[in-house]
Amino acid sequence: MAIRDIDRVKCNDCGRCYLICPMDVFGKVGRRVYLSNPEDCMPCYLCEIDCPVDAITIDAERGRPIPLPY
Amino acid sequence: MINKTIDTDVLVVGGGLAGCEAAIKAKNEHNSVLLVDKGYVSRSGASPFAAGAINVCLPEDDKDVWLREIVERGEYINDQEWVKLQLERGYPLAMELDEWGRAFGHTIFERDEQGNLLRKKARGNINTRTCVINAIPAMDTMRAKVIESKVSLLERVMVTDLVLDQGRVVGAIGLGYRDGKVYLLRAKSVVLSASGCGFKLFGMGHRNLTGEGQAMAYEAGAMLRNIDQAMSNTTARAADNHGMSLMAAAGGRFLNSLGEEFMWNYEPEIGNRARLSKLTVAIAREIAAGRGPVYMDLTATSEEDQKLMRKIVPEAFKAFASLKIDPFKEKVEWMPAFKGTVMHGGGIHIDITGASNVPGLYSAGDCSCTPEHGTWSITGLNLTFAIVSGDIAGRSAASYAREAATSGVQKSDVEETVASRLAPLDAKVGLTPDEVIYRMQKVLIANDVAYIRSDASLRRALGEIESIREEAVPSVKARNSHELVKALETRSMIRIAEMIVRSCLYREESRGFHYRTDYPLTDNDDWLKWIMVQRDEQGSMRVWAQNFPTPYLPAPSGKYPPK
Ligand SMILES: Cc1cc2nc3c(=O)[nH]c(=O)nc-3n(C[C@H](O)[C@H](O)[C@H](O)COP(=O)(O)OP(=O)(O)OC[C@H]3O[C@@H](n4cnc5c(N)ncnc54)[C@H](O)[C@@H]3O)c2cc1C
Repeated sequence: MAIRDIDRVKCNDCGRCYLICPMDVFGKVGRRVYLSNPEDCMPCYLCEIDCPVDAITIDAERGRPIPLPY
Repeated sequence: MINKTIDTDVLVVGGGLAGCEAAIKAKNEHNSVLLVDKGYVSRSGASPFAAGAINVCLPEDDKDVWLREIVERGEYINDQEWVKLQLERGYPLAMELDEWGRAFGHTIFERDEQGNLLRKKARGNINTRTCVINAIPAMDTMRAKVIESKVSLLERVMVTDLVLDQGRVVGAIGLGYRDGKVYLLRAKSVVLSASGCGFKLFGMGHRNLTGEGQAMAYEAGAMLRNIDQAMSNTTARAADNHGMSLMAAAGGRFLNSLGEEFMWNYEPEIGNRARLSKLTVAIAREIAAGRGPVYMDLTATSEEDQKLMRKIVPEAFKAFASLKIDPFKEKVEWMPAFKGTVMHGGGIHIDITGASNVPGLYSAGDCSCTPEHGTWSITGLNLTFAIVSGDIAGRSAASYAREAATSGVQKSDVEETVASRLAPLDAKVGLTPDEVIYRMQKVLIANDVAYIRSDASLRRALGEIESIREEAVPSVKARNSHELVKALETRSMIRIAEMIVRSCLYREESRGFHYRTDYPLTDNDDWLKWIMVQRDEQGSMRVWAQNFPTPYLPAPSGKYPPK
């Protein structure tokens, strides 16, 4: 899956990923961000690009299967 | 059921490049402007992912040559007045954006060592050239400028419906999926800039673009145009990717399983730099002829171009890295990526002021019918159109609002609509949105529906879409507000799917993205027309073909293989 976890050692609870994610993949309890809908990750890498402490690594595998044209 | 009512003079729905430009230009000292977005402005929609190509006709360029190239390459169904407007307004607006960027500390346009705008021949260009833009810094700039301009921002609110009062658009309904509020947004005029519908299919960055803007305009009586040109980009087969125009500009080649550079057979003048419309149909035809798979080969890219690409489309290289593929060392399997009405592919019919046929309703960017493109002309037109149409629609909507009376629409007038939008939350049993979305995708993406069409395959698709519309979409259940967004997305997606298939059935010729085995020729005698869609009084979808003016470049006649 495109997003599996957030590196808890590195994460500084800045909330940037929660703020920006176009697919509403992240949730928040207090200041803590968690993955509320990871299967909806496109992936688009914006959270990885914006994360100030490199706590997120996205892999290219699609979160959901999409039928192929052929 | 409405938790909050907000009054504004101008409401802009969707804050990508077009919506931000519209909001900034609509705002002045005498009015209020509200910009509402489903996501976070600057990190949502297609704009932050744009792969660097922007078509800017510089003062020293010959506008007549550019107009001819754009219209010829758009296979003559462009709105020539919009092409002219774009050639005139593109440069000053692009430089204004560059200037805003500088003020906020961002580099937007790439320049060479002498400080001249970097220009390349990319996808589709013969005599014209494209500038190179950094999309994320451009969107950071837009966000900052929106705030500086005192435009009010409302984010994480999905707009679901327009509100009408005696045939005039007077606002919209929004669903705040994070704050749990339902909004009534009352306005004197509305600009729809919420892009089109990409059906959550392949490609990068567009999976929250599911056609609500176009569907709500349709429900409100607006005409939509040239949806038969539903578009495709291309992507790596193993993972979503993009950056094609730059890759083509840097000498990328497309190879079939025999190792042939097959694009020279389809677009002899420019081969691998062929227009997207030609490239996607060609890949599908190579596959159908048994010469698949098809590859993208970037191994001959210069060091300098490799560096530029990594800078302009960082997300594309993150995808390659994750797959452990170095595209500069090995060829990559490639395929067409159907994108529906996102980034072109038809949309809300607008005149040269950005106005739709419904009073008070304007549209800009990909939500509109992207009239400059024709079928799909040359690379970079979209980004230019986003700022040019945003500027024009924003100003037009503001001047309409100045004259318009405030509507007396009340919460009670929209309660019924709101109740039906919230209904999936009450369903005890039902289908998941994902199941319905998958079914829709399967119908649309099939090779004989997306690319190599016929009457029979399109009729089959229409039957399947009607059954999903009647049986599946009304039975979707949502367990929470995140799923409610997706449930509502299925409503607009099925609407746009039906428009695509009906429009494609209607156009009995081949042109641009539309290739039909039963009508393989471009037929200027009968089909040099716009295909229009509108809801009729009984609520059915009416499709017809309309003649249009060609004021600068006379239309050709005769029939010939698509070119
Ligand atoms: C991967 C990729 C690469 C591209 N490369 C290029 C390129 O090199 N050159 C080029 O010219 N063009 C390119 N394009 C196309 C170009 O990016 C778009 O045409 C352009 O950005 C469209 O801008 P827009 O403002 O109309 O729409 P978008 O940027 O898509 O913005 C739409 C906004 O509407 C919001 N929205 C959607 N639905 C709702 C709703 N129901 N309620 C409220 N808000 C809503 C979204 O959240 C989003 O912020 C590319 C597109 C993609 C996806």
